[in-house]
Amino acid sequence: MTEFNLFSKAPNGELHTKWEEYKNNLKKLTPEEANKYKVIVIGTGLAGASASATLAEQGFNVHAFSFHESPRRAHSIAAQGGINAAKNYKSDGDSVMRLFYDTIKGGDFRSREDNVYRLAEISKNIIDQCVAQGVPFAREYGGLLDNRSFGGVQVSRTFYARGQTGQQLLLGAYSALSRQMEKKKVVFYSRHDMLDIVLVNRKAKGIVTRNLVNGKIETHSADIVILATGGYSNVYYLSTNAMASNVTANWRAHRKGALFANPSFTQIHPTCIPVKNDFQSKLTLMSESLRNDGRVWVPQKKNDQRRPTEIPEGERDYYLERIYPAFGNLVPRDVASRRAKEVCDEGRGIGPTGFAVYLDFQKAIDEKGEDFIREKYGNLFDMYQNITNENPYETPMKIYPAVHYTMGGLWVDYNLMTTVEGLFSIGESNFSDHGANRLGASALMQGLADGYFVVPHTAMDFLAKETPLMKDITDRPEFKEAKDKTENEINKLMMVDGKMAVDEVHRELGKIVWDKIGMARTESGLREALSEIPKIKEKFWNNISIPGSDKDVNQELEKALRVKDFIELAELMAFDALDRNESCGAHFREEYQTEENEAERNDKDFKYVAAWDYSENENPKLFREELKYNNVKLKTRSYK
Amino acid sequence: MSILKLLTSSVGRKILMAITGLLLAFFMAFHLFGNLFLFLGEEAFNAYVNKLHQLGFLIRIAEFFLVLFVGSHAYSGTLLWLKNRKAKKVISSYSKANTSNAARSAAFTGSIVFIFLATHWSTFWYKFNFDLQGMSYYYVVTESSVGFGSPAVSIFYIVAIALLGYHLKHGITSAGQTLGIVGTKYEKIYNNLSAIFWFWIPLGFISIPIWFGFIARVI
Amino acid sequence: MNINLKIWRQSSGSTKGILKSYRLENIDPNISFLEMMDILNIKLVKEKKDPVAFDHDCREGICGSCGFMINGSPHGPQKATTVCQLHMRAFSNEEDILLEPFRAESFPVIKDLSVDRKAFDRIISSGGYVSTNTGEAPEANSISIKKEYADEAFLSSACIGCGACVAACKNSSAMLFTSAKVSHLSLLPQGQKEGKDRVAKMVATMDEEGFGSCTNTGACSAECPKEIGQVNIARLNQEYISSSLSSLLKKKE
Repeated sequence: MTEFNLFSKAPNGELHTKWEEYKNNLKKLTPEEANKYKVIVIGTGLAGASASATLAEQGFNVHAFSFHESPRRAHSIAAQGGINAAKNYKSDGDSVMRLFYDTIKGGDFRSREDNVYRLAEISKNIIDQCVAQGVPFAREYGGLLDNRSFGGVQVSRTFYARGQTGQQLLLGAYSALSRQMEKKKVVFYSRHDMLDIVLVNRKAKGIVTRNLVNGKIETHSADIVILATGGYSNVYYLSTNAMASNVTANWRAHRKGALFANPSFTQIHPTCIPVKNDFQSKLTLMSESLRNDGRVWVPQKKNDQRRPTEIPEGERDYYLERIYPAFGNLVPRDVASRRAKEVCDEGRGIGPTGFAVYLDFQKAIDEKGEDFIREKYGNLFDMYQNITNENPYETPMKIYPAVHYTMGGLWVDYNLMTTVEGLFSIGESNFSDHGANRLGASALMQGLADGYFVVPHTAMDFLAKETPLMKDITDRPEFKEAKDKTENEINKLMMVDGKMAVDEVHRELGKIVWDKIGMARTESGLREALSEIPKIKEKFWNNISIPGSDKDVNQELEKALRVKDFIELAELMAFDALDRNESCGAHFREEYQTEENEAERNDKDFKYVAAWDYSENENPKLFREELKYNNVKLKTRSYK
Repeated sequence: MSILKLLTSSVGRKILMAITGLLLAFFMAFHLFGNLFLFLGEEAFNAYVNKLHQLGFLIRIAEFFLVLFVGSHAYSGTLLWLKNRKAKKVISSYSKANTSNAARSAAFTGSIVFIFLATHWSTFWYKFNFDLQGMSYYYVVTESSVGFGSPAVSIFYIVAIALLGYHLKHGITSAGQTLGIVGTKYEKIYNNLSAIFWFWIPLGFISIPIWFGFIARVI
Repeated sequence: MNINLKIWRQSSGSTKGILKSYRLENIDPNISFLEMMDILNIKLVKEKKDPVAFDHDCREGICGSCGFMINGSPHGPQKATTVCQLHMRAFSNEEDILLEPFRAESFPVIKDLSVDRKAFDRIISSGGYVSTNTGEAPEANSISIKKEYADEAFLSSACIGCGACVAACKNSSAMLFTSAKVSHLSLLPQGQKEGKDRVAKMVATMDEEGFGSCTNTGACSAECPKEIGQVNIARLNQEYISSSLSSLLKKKE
C-alpha cells in the first residue's frame, strides 16, 4: 500500500506576496513550445471552460470532455446569487485580507491559509476578466458596477447579474472556450462520460470515455488530465444539483490513487423550496440573497395550523434574529440550516410536512416598496410562484434546507494537483478552499480562480518539466486494460436484470445519507449508515434493471454507472464523519456541541484535512494534512 | 466579408425584400393617385394618362425598375421559402399561437398578388400601351371586358387587392423589423404610417371597381 | 388526475419514428411535467421496456437542456416556462398530451425526444465572443456602462439556448438565438469593436447550418421561455445593414 506524506507545496514567505513570487518563478512555455502538449480537461463548467480556454490561449492543445451536449449546460449555470471579489468599490472597509479572513472563518478553520489567500487575491482579476468578456453585471445608475452584501458577511462585495450570475459567468467562459474551438485549439467532445483514468508509469496520461450517443467506449491520451467535474451532492438523491451531476470521474481518479479529502463536508443550503412528495426529483434553491430582505420565522406554538398572515407578530418566533442579534437572518449557511432543522424537530415547522419555515418579505415590502423587491428578486419570486402555486408577495415563502455544495473533493496541493502526478482537480471537484463550510458567492469565485488564474500557471510549470508525448499512446497496454475493465463493468451492469429502476435504489441511498450523514450526525447514526450502505450496494448489483442496449443512447445505464460510484462514496463519507470527533462548519456531530447548541470545534485533535485512500476490500485509509495558521488566530465562530 | 456574400445571406435577402417591398408600396401610392382621376371623369383621366405617355422614355425606365423590384422581391421570396421548407423537417410542426395569420401566410398572399400582377399587366397595361383600338383609357377601365365592365374582373381585382393589403400588413411591419427600425425612436411613427399602406391605399384601389363595376351600374 | 400520452418514439437518428400511446393514472397535479415523465419511465423500466429518452438536467429552467413539443408548443402551454418548470396542474384530467421532438433539419433527432442542438454552439463559435485573452483585461470599473444598456444586454444574454425558437418557427429559423447574442454584445462597449465582423460571420454560420430565414412571424419570442424579444432581431438587422454598408464603402476606397 502506498504511503502518502501530504505536503501542500505552498511556498514559504510572506502571505501577501507569495503567490505573485511563486507564479513568477514557475516555468513558462512559449506558445510554440506549448503547442507540443496535449491537455485533457474533463467537465466544461465554470472551472473547466475557463481552464480550457486559458490553456488554449497559452498554446496548449486542449481536448475538453463533457457529458452535456454543450458546455453552456453545465450546472454552474444555475448559481443565482453572485460572485465575491475584494474590490472594495463600496469603500466599506473590504480588502483582500478581509475576504481571506471571512473565508477562513466561514470555513470554520479547516481550509488551507495559502490557498484561501490566493483565492481572495485573484478575486479581483476575475471581475476584470469577466467584464472584458462582456458579462452584463448589474450596474448603478452612474454606470459603475453594483455590489450587494451576501450570505454571512457584513460588507458589500458580491457582484451579480440579477439572479442569474452563474449563467452569465458561464456564458462568458463558454464564449472564451468557443473562441478557442473556432481556432481549433480546443476540441470539444460532447455527450461523453468519463469512466476511468489511465495511468502510465504512475502518471495520469489518459482517460476512458463512453460516447453517450452510440455507446462506444473510447480511450484518449494526453500529457496531463484536469478534472473539473463539480461536486457530488447528488449522493443525497435529492439536492439542488442538476440531475446528472455526479462523482464518477472523481471516484475513478480516487480508485486510481487520488486521495479524497473531507468527503463528509457537504453544505446544506438553508433556502430551498421544501420537498412536497415522494415523486420529487430534485430540489430548487432560492438564492440566499433573499435573506437580505426576508425574515425567517416559525410560529411560537407547536403545530400551529393557522395561515401565516393570520399569526400576529407577537406569536411569531424570528429565531435567527433572536439568537443572533448581530447577524440576524444573514448568519452563515450551516448555522441557518441547523437552526431550521432544530425548530422543525421541535414541532414548530410549518406546511403539510412540518419540514419548512417561513421566509417573510412583508417588512421589506412595507419599508422599501413592492417595486424595489420586484426589481431585486423578481425572477426568484416568479420561479417560486410557478413551482409552489403561491404568491410570495402576499404570503411568506416556505423554505427548508437542502444539500447544495460539497466542500470535500479530491485532495490537491497548492498547484491544484492531486496525489496522482499529472492529474489536476479544479473548482468544486477539489477540496481546497472552503474548509468545512463555504460562504455564499464563493463557489463561482473559486471555479473561475482555479480555471482562469491558477491551473494555467501550475499546469504549465508541470508540463515544462515533462517531455511531450507528441503522439497518441492509446495503443499502450494500460489503455487497453482500462478499456476492458470498463467494458466488463458495463456488461456486468447490463446483465443484472432485476426489478428495480436505478432511481429507486438511488432514492433509498439518498434517504440513508440524508438521515445519517446530513445536517446533524451522531456516532450511532454513522455506524448504522455503514451497515446499511453495503445492503444498498447489494441491492443495486442484484436488483436493478437496465432495458435496452449499451451500444445506444441508454439513460438508465448512464444513471447506473453514476449511482454505483455514489454508493461507494457514501460509505467513505460515513467513515470520514465518524473519524471527525468534533463539530465544525457543516459537519455537525451532535455529541460535540456547546451549551448554546453551537458547533464545538476541537482544534487540538482535528485541525487537519482528512484525506482518504481507496482500498478495494478493506476500510479506507486515512492520511492527514495538518493545517497551519500563521496569519489568523483560531477563534470560535460567533455570529451573535 | 464581400458585399455579394452579405447580400445573398438569409438576412441580406430579407433586407433586399424589405427595400424592394417598401419601394413598391410607394409606387402603389403614386399609382393610386393616378387612378383616382377616374372619379373626376373621363376627360381628366384620359388627360392624366396622356401626360404620362408624353414622358415616353422616362416612363419606360420607371417600368423597368418596377419589374426589377417585383422580380427580385418575388425571386428572393421564393428562394427563402424554399430554404425554409428545407429547414423545417416536419412542415406542420411549429407554433401557431400568438402569431398573426398575415405573417404566416405572407408567401401565399404574395404568390396570389404575383398572379394578379401578371394578369394586370397582360390586360390593362397591354391594352393601354399597344391595343387601344380607338377606345379611351377611361372606357377600358370602366366599361371594357378586361376592365370593370366584367364583374369577374372586378371581383378578382377586389380580392387580389385585399390580399395585397393583407400581404402589406405583414410586409410593412416586417420591413420595419428587417431594416432595424423596431426598437429605435422611429418605431412608433413608422407603425402609425404603415396603416396608410396596408389599409388606406388598398381601400382606395378597391373603391374603384366597387364604384365603376357595381354601384355606378345600378344607379 | 389521469392523462393519455402520445409520445414520439424513434430509436436513433437513422431510423423512422412512430407515435406510441401511454396512459398514466392517479398523477398528482402538483408534480412537475418531468417528474411525470420519470414516473412513466420507471414504469417502463419495470416492464423491461425501453424508457423514453429526453434531455434535462438542472430542472430549474436555466440550463436549456430540456425542451420538446407538447401539444404543438415548444415547452408546452405555459408562457415563459421551460418543460422542467411546467407542472401537471397546467393540464386537465383525461387530457390527451402529444409529445414530439423539436422539428428542424438542423436539430437531428438523437433518440425519442432528444435532439442534437450543437449547431447553436457552432453559431456562437463563429463570433459570439469578445476577443480577449485571460489576464489582459483592464480594471473592471474603467469601463462605465449606462445602466439601461447593461440591463438590456442582460435581457438578451438571458437566452438559455434551448432551441424552442427554432422549433416554434415555421421556417426553423435561428434568428432569435443568433440575434440575442449579437445584441447582447453590440449593446456593450466591450463587444462593439468586433460588431460588424461578428454579425456577418454569425449569420453566415446560421445559414450554413441549414436554419431557415426569419419571416418575422414572432412565434419565437412568443414561445421563448426567457421571453427574448423581437427587438433583438431588429438589432441584428441594424448591425447587419451597417456591416454591409461598411463593407461596400471599404470596397470603394
